[in-house]
Amino acid sequence: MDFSFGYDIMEIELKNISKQFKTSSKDSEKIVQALDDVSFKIKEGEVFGFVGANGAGKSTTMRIIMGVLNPDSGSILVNGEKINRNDRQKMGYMPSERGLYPKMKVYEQIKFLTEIHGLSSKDAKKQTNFWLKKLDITQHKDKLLQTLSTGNQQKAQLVATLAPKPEVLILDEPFRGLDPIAVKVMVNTIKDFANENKPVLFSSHQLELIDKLADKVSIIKDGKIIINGTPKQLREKANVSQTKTIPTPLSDIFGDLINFN
Amino acid sequence: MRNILLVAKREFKTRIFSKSFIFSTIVFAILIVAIGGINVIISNGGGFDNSIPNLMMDTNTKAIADANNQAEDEVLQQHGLTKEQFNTEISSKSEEIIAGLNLKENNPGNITFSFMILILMFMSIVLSGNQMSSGVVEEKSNSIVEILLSAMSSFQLLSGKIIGLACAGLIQIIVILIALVSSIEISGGESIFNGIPIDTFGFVLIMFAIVGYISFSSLYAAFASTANSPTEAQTAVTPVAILMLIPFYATLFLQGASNNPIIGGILHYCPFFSIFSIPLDYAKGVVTLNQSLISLAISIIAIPIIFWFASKLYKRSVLS
Ligand SMILES: Nc1ncnc2c1ncn2[C@@H]1O[C@H](COP(=O)(O)OP(=O)(O)OP(=O)(O)O)[C@@H](O)[C@H]1O
Ligand SMILES: [Mg+2]
Repeated sequence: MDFSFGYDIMEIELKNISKQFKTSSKDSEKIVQALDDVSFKIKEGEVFGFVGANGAGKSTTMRIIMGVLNPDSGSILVNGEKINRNDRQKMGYMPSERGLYPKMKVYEQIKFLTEIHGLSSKDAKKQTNFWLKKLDITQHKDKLLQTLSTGNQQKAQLVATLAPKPEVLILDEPFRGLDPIAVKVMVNTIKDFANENKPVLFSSHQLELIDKLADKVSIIKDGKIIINGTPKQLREKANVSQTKTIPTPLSDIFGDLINFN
Repeated sequence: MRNILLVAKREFKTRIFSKSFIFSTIVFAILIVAIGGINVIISNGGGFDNSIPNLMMDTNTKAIADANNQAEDEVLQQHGLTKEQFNTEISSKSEEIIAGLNLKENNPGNITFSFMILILMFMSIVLSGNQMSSGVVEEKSNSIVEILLSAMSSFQLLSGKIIGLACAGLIQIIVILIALVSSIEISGGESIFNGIPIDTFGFVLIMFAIVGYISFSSLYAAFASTANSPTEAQTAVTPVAILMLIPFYATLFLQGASNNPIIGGILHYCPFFSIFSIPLDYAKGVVTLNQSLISLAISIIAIPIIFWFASKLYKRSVLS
């Protein structure tokens, strides 16, 4: 336990978050209501799956949690108090558009990104090497990021997210583009986090992964949370039989769920 | 604070290992040594024989110079003048010419020198600004900025970038000064750069260069942050480029008028303008060290205001 952090993040709560985007084209100004009164709570040790069609507002929500965007209204609470920079420094964030320097060496930039999250140079080195090895990209560590394959760039992104020893994970489509081995590492990482009682929020279009990992699922549609609950509760809502030994896959009932109401 | 330094360090490293930095630094250094040397050959028709390093002059030019010397001596004899008389005559004539141009130079070398420094400084600040703008756009278009800004404030990020680039720029200015001193050394005291108070001048140059890097790169960052791609950035930073060109050209072309109280006041004491005009006019002896220091203080006071404006715009634009 690193005492410089002083406290653990136990709970993240989104309270009535709304966000509009103004997009001005030539002669008309369009307003997009990206988020409309979004509220949910991610608790200690909980894996929270975030589902919704393209453009539903998943990335916007995560950006607001990370302070990359400011909400128009509503608030984010950590352990019941308004979120601050310190809290965010302890969060491992994987943005939807992957973000690394194309022309910087893999090892160098991950170490840099790890240090800005508060780790000492020595710890940052250790952590970077550890995760590079775990994801099996150590042989690429001195290459420029842009020379790596897309999948390996993804893995580098994952290393950059995990190396700073985050206490919370906010992952925007973390499985996109990963090979089966990396998917397994990601799955195990998420499980490990949950076992260490750390909150995880991840979005995905792969519902079988949500099904497998998430303790709770939120479905967002056009900026509104339409359903919130455990996978089991979701099945109940969709009125699928619970008597079968093999539960109906979420992917089969997704269509019904988003047309609920 | 630690994050500012980490960003500064990364920015500094990226800059000094970039091709544009290495190339421009080498070219600047060679230019200074070369101009310092060439001027020895051109301007000192009379007494340079043993003082010029061999590398500056091959035997051919020496032969021509010797021939010139001889011819010169013959002509002088015909007119019954000694060499000293001739030289004083020449220098008083050139002073008249300079006075006619309304310049205060006492040494024609200082003009060449100061213009050269002005141009090098301008180029160095432009290159540094370009690096800033391409860096900002790179971070923005690759979403790196999302990760950076989830771990630090935009204030920290921007300050770190500015400090890193200013440090890299400082290295370039120091190389320029070293080249200058070497050129004086090599030419054995005959360089056109002679007579410039190199220690105080070095100080003035370094201070104004730092102020220049900070003021302009803040603005480059702010304007570049409104762009979404490198091509857009070219257009976005145009206002900053213009803001740089105005004081640059003013310094270059309004020199003769710099003893006019209004023009001189603007050139010497206005932030942005003084960055170029003070090092130049100090080298020429138009402004004193004290005046330079006052102007420096004004420019330094302006930095927080410029930075405040820049960070506002940067913060607003970099995440949209
Ligand atoms: N910077 C922006 N400017 C204008 N509109 C935006 C901006 N970012 C998002 N939007 C709009 O907000 C809405 C939500 O977008 P968001 O990226 O959060 O969706 P998403 O659920 O992550 O979708 P996907 O599954 O495709 O990643 C969309 O209508 C999108 O067009
Ligand atoms: Mg998204």
